[in-house]
Amino acid sequence: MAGCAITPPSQPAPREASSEIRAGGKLFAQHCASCHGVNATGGTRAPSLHTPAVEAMPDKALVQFLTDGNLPKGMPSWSRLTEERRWQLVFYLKSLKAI
Amino acid sequence: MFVRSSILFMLLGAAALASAQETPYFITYTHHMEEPGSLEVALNPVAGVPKGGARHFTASSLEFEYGVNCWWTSELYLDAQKTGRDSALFTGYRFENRFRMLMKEHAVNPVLYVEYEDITGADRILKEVVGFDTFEDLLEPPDEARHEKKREVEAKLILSTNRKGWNVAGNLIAEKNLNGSPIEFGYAAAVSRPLVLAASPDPCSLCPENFSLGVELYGGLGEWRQVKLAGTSHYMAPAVAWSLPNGVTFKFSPSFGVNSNSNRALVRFGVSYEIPQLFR
Repeated sequence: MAGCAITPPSQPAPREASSEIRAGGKLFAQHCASCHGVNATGGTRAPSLHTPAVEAMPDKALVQFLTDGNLPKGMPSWSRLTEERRWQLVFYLKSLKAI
Repeated sequence: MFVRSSILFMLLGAAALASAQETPYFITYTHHMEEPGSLEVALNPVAGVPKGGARHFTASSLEFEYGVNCWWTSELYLDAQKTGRDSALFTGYRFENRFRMLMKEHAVNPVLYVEYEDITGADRILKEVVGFDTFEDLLEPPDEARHEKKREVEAKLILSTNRKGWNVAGNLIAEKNLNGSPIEFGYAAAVSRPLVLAASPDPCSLCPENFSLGVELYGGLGEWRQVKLAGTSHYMAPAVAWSLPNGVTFKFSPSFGVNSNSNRALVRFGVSYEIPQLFR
């Protein structure tokens, strides 16, 4: 049972985009900014998220990445957040422009 | 003094913006690890409502939980208690390590837990029930019980899953007193869910998204060659957690004894504060 992967995340019903992005920004400040920086521009502990790679990654893949994290490389799993909140984080990340 | 210093430490801590999205559990562990480099300091008192003539007590555990990395969390507990009009006693320490076994999220996520305890017979934290623990264990006055040394090794298999906003977790516990007593077994199981699944766009503290509700069941399973539910104590505990955006979490959970071997109630409170990236 432990070897079964979870089913891919499904995008929730659309709500007003700006409120979802603001909610995602609030979650980013609470959970991610300590490593990725207040403006997601990165630092010594984690990279900038204003990158073409983040822009190009499909939304579902980004939600899955937040779910799994990258434990060997220091990115924690955010499965403790509900799927709805992980989608809100992705909406915020997708609003960032590559620098 | 112990309790006042602990509270003062947390109130004077740096107001870092961090929120752990805590489950409301006191006994059951999940596969959620402490974030790497973050230190969570918690004070978890318990007020006991015993029976059989045992006196009411208050015990407290000061906890320091550190994320060594994404798959390894380490924790130190310092226990104390006060019974009736007796003096407060330091009752020992525990050192715990949890290791996440799989590097990706799965339907069921296993975590290995190992702990060393060096406590006295006067310890009243009752953080788990194992073997044939009953309310009668609390009848001995703490002043006498404190002379009993208990050096124990404990292991847990933690299984936990998150699905559609729910967390469901189960722990199988094996504990061995190094004085030669048989291995004792216990269990804990829990389920919880945030009141609201999505976050609101505006900052808030007293809003439903910051609250989680849950329930725990825990109790003993006997010992080696006598594994059973009878003859030991079992508890059911509704629980609530309130996680503030500044990293402070409050928890409350009354445990109710569900059989004649159990104490009437164990009322648990908790306050914790997460300091992100403390040593990085």
